[in-house]
Amino acid sequence: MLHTLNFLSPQIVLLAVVTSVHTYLGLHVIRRGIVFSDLALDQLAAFGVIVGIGIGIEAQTTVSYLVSFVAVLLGSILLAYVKPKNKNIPHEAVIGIIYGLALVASIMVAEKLSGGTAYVKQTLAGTMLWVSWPLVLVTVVVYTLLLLFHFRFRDRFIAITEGKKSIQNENGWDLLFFISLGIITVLIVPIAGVLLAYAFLMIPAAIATLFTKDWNQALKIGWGIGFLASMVGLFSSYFFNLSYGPTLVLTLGLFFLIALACRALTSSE
Amino acid sequence: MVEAISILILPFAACVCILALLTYLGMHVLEREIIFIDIALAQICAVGATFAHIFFGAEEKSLAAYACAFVLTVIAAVFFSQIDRRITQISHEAVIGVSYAIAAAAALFILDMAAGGDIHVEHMLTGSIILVRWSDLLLVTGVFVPVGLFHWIFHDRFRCLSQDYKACRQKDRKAVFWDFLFYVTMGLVITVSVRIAGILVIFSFLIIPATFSALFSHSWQNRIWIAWGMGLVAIIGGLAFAYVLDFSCGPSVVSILGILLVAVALFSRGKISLKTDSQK
Repeated sequence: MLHTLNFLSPQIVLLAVVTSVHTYLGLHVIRRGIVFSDLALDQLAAFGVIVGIGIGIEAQTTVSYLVSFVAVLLGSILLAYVKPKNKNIPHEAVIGIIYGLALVASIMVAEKLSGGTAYVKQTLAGTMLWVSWPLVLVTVVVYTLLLLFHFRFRDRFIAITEGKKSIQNENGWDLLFFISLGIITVLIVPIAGVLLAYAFLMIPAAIATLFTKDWNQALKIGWGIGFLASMVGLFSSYFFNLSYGPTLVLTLGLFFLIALACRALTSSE
Repeated sequence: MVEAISILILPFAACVCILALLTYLGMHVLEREIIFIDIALAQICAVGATFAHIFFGAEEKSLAAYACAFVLTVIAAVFFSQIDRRITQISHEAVIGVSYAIAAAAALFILDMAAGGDIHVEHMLTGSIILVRWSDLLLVTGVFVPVGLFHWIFHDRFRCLSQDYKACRQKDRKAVFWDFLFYVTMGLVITVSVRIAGILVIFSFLIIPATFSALFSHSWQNRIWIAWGMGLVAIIGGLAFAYVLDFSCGPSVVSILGILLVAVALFSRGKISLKTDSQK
């Protein structure tokens, strides 16, 4: 038992930190309605990792993170500026095409690498089981700084997301929000994979939003359920020898479907 | 050259079949703004087939696998159409996005139990168009021709539904039923084509030519011809690219589709329009 806990402790720390920051930013993402854009950005971060491997940069090194960051940055610029005026082309189509092309590009680059197709699966399913303490420490430090920053300026970020009152220098704060989103995307996608990173951001926040509009309560619900689900996922993947990333997404997903069912049954049409 | 043609003739035929019907359905998809529902449905369909394969031992292209995939796809379609009315706290998009991620994770989870998972993942995403056989082609045409005819005969009804669901529903009591039929046919088409071409390729054929044609025209008739033409160029270009540089067919065709769209969109910046637009 001690041995197991020892082995799993980096994951437990990582999951706790990731859940706390992702749930909070996820609440913003859901309220802003940029749900699909985030999926596209996650895939672009993964594309950055694969391109990095293609030009000889090992995954999970500083340079690899930088390449990812550039890819995410380019993606955000595209998402922000390509808004077709043509009424026959919904914005969702642009996001969908960016996502699809990022995934196709990842596959094509990976095809030309030795051991190629394995990378595609890795960037989808993640390699979080093999995180090392140094990586966990870096993530914890960056996430704590982000969390402090967002806690200090929470009023402004929340005001912008809710769009109720206007505040000074709104575009600047908006940019800071997207940079935070970019930082967590780049940090987490290379280890957790696209799907798990997306699930962490969306699912606890979505469950919380189903039941309350209040930010404080939503955070508590999101953190509680998010952490509980990750622990269930972590231990069942360990004891039943199931693949780590997909198991975590499925446990989070199970909680989401239960919450959805509860809500659908209790609310009238 | 002869060798190239003899290898690529079946993949080419399969791509053309898929292009012919999916482009048209894609215009409905854009009109209804259900872009991500579609990729979610395709992913769920793949989960169904994989599930049947791993747990019931159904052969990959057997009837059982198709049936399992189809049933799951239709259930998901009903789920997506109901959830819109029941859940108001979070946006429809959030439910769709999360469902897609869950389905993709489920597919990875199931594939991980079988040997050779990495290859299966790529197969699920981009299919294996190069390995298409005559029997596959026969099945595809066998499903696509009736569905295509059905949509052609009742195109007014379907178009009315896609353009303005609410108004249509007030006029016609059977609108809900026709809407259901739209999703059933969509599910059928996705079920059959995903096994050959993979989720990503199907998704791209649905969205990219339809988006491309919208840059030029608003009339459905013009758009379908433009989209078919563009798709055909991309298929020929993509297959040649794949053959010469030794890439997979599916991703190559998709990248040419993407490149054509991006190039023309940059070049035109939405200013191109055909004269017939005014007639509509």
